[in-house]
Amino acid sequence: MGKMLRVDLSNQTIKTEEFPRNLANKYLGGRGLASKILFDEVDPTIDAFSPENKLIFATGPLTLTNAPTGGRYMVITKSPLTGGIASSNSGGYFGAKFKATGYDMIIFEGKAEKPCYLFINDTTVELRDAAHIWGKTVPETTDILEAEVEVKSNVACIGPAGEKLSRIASIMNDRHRAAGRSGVGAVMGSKNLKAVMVSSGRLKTPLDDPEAFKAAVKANIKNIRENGVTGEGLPKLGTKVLDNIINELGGYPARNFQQSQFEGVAEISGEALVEKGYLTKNVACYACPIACGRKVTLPDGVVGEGPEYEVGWVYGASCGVNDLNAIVRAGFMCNDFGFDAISAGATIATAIELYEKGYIKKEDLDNGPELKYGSSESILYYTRKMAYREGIGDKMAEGAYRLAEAFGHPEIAMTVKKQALPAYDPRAVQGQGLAYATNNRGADHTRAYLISPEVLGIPEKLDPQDNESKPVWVKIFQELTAIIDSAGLCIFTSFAMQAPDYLALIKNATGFDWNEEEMMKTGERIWNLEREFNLRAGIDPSEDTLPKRLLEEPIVDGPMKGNVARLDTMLPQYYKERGWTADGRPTEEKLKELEII
Amino acid sequence: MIKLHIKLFATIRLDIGFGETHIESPKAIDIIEMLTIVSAKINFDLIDKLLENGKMIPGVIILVDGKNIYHLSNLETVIDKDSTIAIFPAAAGG
Ligand code: SF4
Repeated sequence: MGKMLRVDLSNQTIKTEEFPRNLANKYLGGRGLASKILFDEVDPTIDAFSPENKLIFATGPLTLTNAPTGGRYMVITKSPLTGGIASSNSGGYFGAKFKATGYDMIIFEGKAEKPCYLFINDTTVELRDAAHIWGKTVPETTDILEAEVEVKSNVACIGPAGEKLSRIASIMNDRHRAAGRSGVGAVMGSKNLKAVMVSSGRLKTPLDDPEAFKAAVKANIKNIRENGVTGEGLPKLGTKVLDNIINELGGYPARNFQQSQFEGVAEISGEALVEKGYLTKNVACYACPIACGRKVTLPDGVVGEGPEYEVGWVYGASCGVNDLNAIVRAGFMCNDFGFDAISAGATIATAIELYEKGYIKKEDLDNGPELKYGSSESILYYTRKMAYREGIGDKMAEGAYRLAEAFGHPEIAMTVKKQALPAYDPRAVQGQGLAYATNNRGADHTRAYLISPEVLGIPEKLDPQDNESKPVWVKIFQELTAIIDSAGLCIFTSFAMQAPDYLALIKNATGFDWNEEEMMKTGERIWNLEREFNLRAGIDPSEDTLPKRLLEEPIVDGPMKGNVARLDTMLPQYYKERGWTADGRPTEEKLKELEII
Repeated sequence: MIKLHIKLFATIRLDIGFGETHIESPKAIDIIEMLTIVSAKINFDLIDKLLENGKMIPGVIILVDGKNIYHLSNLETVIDKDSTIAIFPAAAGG
């Protein structure tokens, strides 16, 4: 503990460095600290696939503690999808087990000449030849590597998607858990780095005040168990409980956001997953009392995990498919190939619209099945094509935006900063739309989950159609989420925990003499640093927007009929709340106040 | 006669084994009255499941024709015409 690894893949050398404690007080750890390192060490204008890009695996101060969900890690790099900062969070056990070997972070630099993987245990850190696992899927790679050592090990790796530099490739750990978004898996592939395996770590995260920490953990676990969402909803139905909620509300995008309700939802919802007997049991990440993961067995005996709400939605409603079996299978394929499943499904939904409108021609499909909404065959067939870049799969592997652009119709792609939108229609939930538009890693819901106040009423109920209240809420959520990510926890804790609860855990673990204001300031610093990286990378603030369809075409049916996303009424106020210029740039004063420059 | 189509979701649906029912009322009713009638019909105490100390448990959602009762008149919302009511216990995130 207190050390980090710097792995030069070009020269195949590994150095151990002291963990930069002086920065931890300002950036906490995980996402915050790794972003600071990227900001300091990587020229934001480089090509994401160049050896100059760095790929950072980072744990937080609460990773490998028994704080609820204290097992997360982050992957930070320059994104080949958005061109800005990529920053993906994952659970499972890998993050905690990596930290147990004594390191908080790994910085990968350069590019290996041949495929390799990094092996770490409590006495050894070495780069090993990966010729035998190159080309293998995620479960195959994991099985092979695990069999090479005698003790229980944990593997994070890429699949064929990452190897083939698909801009929507994920890094998978523990077979089913994904550092999913923004193409981090493709950067790993570009470095010829197939996997990281950690083994036999025995260390524990040091705590500043173990007794006070224990008390805070106990209180928070109690909160989580007694909370309706984290104590009952998520454990029983997982995130897929949301299908019906969002659909009834009229914000469940169907057929690539052409509709906002899906007539087939009853067949594919979280309830259906249980009623059809597919759900075998709940699965929990390290130290998690919530256990939202789903172990699922299909009627033909195929076993896997998921789908989560997003994955089920994107391969279901967004592709117009009401065949739960095929949807689950598509989710398994994404895990096996190493895809960000949201982006993979969204790319297929985009391809279908392009085909149905005549922009993709039959001959472009190389005798593959017709791209039609509702076609179970298509979603499975083209997910595989995309993984191996075969035929039209080559263009699809570039993600929804670049696919639509290649066929001359970028407006068909439902993306922000070239990353596909998740499962909430911004016309129905206005604050979530602002959160998508201003997200530093492109469209995504996990950097400010406004659904919590706008739909679930947590911590208080906001009107989803109100615009005035949203800028300040989005800012607060973005900053608190930056803290949760940087600490090494899962954002699902935030249904039951509030800022003072996180503060108690962080203070007693690290000894930082923070109050709530200082903690939130750290969140603000992280957000502004990421923004500054993106600006320097050339992402213009005019990209803080939503697809034209959502800004101009009102919802056609259902309870939210007639609404568009009223971003123009929220964005100026959001910039103001942030203390940025009217055109969305952090002022010099703000950057100095936050000690970024 | 007011006709209400009641849709029940998540753990309620799993616990009772079905997801829809219909009720009728000769007069306008508020949410508590509606929940009382539905509870009797499905033999499942919705008030206990959804409320604590007379207030909705955080995360509980009741929609009247797709509109959250939070933005109508909360538990005092009056249902005075044929409607679809969707009821969710404290739920989840994605
Ligand atoms: S809530 Fe779900 S995703 Fe988060 S740590 Fe627990 S099991 Fe993992």
